[in-house]
Amino acid sequence: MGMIPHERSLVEKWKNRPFALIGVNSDGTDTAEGLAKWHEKAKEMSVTWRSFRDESTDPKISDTWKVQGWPTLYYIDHKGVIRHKDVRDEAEMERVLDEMITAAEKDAKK
Amino acid sequence: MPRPVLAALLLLCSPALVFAQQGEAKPAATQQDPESAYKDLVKAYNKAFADWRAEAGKKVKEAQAAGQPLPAIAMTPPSREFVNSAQDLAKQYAGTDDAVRFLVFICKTATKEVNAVKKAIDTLLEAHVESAAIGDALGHLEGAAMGFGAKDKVMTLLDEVVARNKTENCVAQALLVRGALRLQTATTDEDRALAKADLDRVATVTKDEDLQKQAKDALFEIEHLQVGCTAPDIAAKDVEGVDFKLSDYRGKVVLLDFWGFW
Repeated sequence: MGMIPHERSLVEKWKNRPFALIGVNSDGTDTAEGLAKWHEKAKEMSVTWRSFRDESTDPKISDTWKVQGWPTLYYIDHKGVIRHKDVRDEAEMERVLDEMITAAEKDAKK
Repeated sequence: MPRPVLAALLLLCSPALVFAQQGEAKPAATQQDPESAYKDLVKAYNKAFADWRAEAGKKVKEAQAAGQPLPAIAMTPPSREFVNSAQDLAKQYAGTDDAVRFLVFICKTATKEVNAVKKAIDTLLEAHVESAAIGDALGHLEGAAMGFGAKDKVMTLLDEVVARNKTENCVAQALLVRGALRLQTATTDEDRALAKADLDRVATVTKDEDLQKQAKDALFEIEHLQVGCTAPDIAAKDVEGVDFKLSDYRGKVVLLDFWGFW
């Protein structure tokens, strides 16, 4: 949750470039009550990006992806290949993502 | 991970996860058999753990409310006196299969008792490699290997079990743990290939479905979730209940974030 302000800034910064932040959210939004609570929090924290509902598949997405701790981050390039995992340092996050986005733009021009 | 999250996870952890409930312990007899000695030990530990969790949870909440750093208690679950008792009991039953579970107890409960953990692993290596009772113990050594800098010792123990133990499930469990450890510490493709070979072998040594499934899950991680792998697609509902796929975003860089407010 501590990462949300930084994540929001990334979405804003790269809104015109080929980048998407996608969450897998484990807050139990499959009940009306859970969903309402989530909306309240999301509004408060300005969460503007899309998230999968972790419990909407069986097994859960986080189980399929062998997630052992939260948050867990996967960096997936424009071809769908995992390029980094669990880079958490904010400056390093921006560096690797910028590199990946630049590569995606180059390929799109080809 | 921010520290409060770490503490919260630790506090969420129920002792039932650490130790399966052992039922009612019998009143201590004068001449205790190893079975009830173990039950008593686990019961006392579970109680101490529950007390610690309640107390630490309260203190953490107070500190958070006051905007103060985490209190030390949050990071210190009970351990020393229980590790000491387990050491005594392991000595008392030295050389028998009964000693194995006390040695494992040490590896599971120790928080700062590095030497006790290392000694327990040495004893398993010296006296219990061929024991049919060592299988379940091995799964608990992964944490000890990583958390206490005892990886080399644990690897030696696993190598010996694979080579010398005659019980199929013990060998399978040793392979599972060795594969997992190799994967966790892998830096090259060769390391990953060794990890994969261990996990592939599990299905050839045991018919136990649970062990086979564990190996299959671990293999999925090696083959699909490493840097360089094509990410498994996700087809699921978003928070609002609308279906979408991860692959809808091909062409864009995706930062996939497993998260929650909690």
